[in-house]
Amino acid sequence: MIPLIKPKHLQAGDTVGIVAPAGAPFEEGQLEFAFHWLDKLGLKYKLGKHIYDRHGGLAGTDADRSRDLNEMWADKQVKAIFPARGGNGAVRLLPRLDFEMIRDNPKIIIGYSDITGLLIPIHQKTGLVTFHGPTANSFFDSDYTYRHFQRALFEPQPLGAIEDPALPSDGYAPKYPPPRMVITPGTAAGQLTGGCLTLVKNLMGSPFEIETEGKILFLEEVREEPCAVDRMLCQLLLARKLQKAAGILFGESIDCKPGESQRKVSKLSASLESVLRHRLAGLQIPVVYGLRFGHGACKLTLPLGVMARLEAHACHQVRLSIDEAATSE
Amino acid sequence: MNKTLIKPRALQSKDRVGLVAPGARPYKPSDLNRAVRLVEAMDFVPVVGQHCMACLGHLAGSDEQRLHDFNGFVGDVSIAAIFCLTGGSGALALIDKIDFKTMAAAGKIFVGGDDNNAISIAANAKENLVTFCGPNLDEINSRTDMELFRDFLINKDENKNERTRSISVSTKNGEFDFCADYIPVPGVAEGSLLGGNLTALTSLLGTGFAPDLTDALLFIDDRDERTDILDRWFTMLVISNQLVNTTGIILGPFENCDSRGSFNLLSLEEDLSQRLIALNKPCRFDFPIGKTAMVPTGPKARFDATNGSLEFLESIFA
Repeated sequence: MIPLIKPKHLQAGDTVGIVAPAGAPFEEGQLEFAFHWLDKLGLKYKLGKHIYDRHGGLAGTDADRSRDLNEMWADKQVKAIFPARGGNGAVRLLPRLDFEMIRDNPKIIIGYSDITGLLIPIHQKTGLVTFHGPTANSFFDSDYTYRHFQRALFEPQPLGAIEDPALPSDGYAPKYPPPRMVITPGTAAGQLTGGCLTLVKNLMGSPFEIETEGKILFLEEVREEPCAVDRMLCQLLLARKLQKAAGILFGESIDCKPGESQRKVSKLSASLESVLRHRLAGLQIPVVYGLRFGHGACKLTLPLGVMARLEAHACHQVRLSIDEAATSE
Repeated sequence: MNKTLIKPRALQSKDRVGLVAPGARPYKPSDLNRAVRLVEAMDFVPVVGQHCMACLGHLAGSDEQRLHDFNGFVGDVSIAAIFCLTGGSGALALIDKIDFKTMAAAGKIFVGGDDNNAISIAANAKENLVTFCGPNLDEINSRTDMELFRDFLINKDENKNERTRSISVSTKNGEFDFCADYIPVPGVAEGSLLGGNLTALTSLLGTGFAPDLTDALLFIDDRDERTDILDRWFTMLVISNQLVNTTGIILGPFENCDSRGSFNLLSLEEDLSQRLIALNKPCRFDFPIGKTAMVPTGPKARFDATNGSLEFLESIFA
C-alpha cells in the first residue's frame, strides 16, 4: 500500500501550469476566459510550450505533450497542473510519464473526462491525491463548479457534506436525472476513486488498471450509447471491479440518450437509467445515480484517495460527505 | 502457447446449427426468418434458440434467457455449430457463465462477429478451442458472402491440405484488379491467429478471459465506430504491453469508421500507423477479414503484409 501524499493547497499569488496532455484547445480564444478567471483567483500561470500544437485532434505529438507535462510537473515554481481540456490522448502519454519525479514533487492536478486517464494512474503509482474536477477551460462553467473547485483547491479542511446545485430559478424540478436517485440503498465508507467510464475501461489490463476494493467508486459518461455503457459495465463486472467497491456513485452523464453518440444506433435501445438498474441494482452495495460531476455545467471536485461516506436511504435522502482533507497546509 | 489446440469438426450438409442472439435482439420477426432461410440455403438445418425474440431493452431477453439458449446448444450433442443472428452489447454479460469446457470437448463450431467476438476470443483463451471470427447472419448480404461463409466451414479438401486455403486482398469484391491498401510495415509474419472486433477484444482486458497475445498474429477490425474511440482501444493494447509480443498485425476494413464530427482530423490509418511503424511488426490496413472472409482463432498462419495474403499453416478442423 503506497502512502497517501497530499499536495499543498493553493494560495493567491501561486503559479499554476496549463498544459494540454490530451486534446488541443484549438484556438487561443478557448482559454481567454480561463486566463481572466485565473486573474480573479489571484493565480499566475505558465503555459506549456506545445499547448496550441495540433496533431490530428491532439495537442501535438505524444513526445511533445508528455515532455510538456513532465517539464511543468518538475518546475518547482508551479503549484498545480491545470490541463487545458480533455478530449483524447492522455492515456497515450502514460508510458512516457516520470512517475518518480511526480511522486517527489507533489502538486495538484485537476481535470475530468480524458484527464481521468492521468488522475487514476498518478494517484495509484505515486499515492498522490489527484482531483476529479473541472479543467482550465471549465472551472468557471457555473457557480456550483467554481465554488467547489475553489474550496477543494484553496481550503485545506475537509470538503464535508456535498450539496446539490440550486433548483432552477422557477423552483421546480431540476433536469433529469435527479441528482440523488437511489438505485440501491445502503451505507458505505471508503476512499474515493473513479472518473469517466470510458477512461476506466481504457486502463483495463494495463499496469494502471483502477483499484476499487473497499472504495467508493464514482463513474460518469458523456455522449455514449446506453448499450456501450452496458458493455463497459459488463467488463468491470467480469473483472470484479464493481463487486469489490464499497459503493458506486454514477454521475449525471450528459448526452447519453440513445442516438446522442453520433454513431449508428441500434434500432432497439434501453435508457441509461435502465442499464444502470439492470447491471448495478443486484450488487450488495449502495448505488446512487445523478450526482453532478463530470461533463455537465455543474461539476463537483472529487479528490481521489481521501475518505468519503455515503448514506443512501431513499430518493433525495442521500448524504455524501468527504471527511478527510485532500490538501496539506 | 504450448497447449494443444482443440479443433472443431468441419460441417457437413444437413448438420444442425443452433441460432442464438447473445447480445441484441433481431429487430423484427422477418430478420429471424431471413436468418433461418439463409442457413437453409447453406444446406444446414437451423435450430432457433427459444428466447431469440425475447426483449429486454436492446437485448434478446435477460442474461439468463440468452444464456439458457447458448448453453442449451453447447450441451446438445445434435448441434454441430452455433451461429449468431446479430451483434450488439450483451454477449459480454454471458462470458463467465458460458460452458466453454463442454463447447471445447464437443469440438463445436462457434462463429461470432462484433460483440460476439468476445465469446470466440474467450473460448480460445480459456479452452484453446479454434473459434471463428466471421459475420453474424444479419451481415451476410449476398450469395457470394453466403457461399464464402459456408465453404469455409465445410472441409471440402479431401487431403486436408490447409496450405491450399488462403485469404488475400483479391478476396475483396472489387471492380479493379489493383489494390491500394496501406502498408505501414511491409514484411512477413507467422503466428497463431488471434483477434477479432477491437471493441470486443479490449472488453476482455483486465478480466479472466483476456487473450495472451504472445506470438500471436493479431487481427483487428471494427465498424460504425468513432476513430477517437478506436484510438483509445488501440492504446489499451499498447499500454497493456501486449502489442510488443505479437508477430504481426492484420487490420481490417474498419467499415464506416470516421471522426463523426469530433475534433479528430487524422484518419485511423494515419493515427495508428505512427505507433505501428514504431512497433515494426508487419502490418497492413484494409485486409478483408471478418465480414468478407472468416478468420479462425488459434491456428498458425503466415501473413504476407507486402503482398496482402494470409495462408494457414495447419489444419483448422479436426
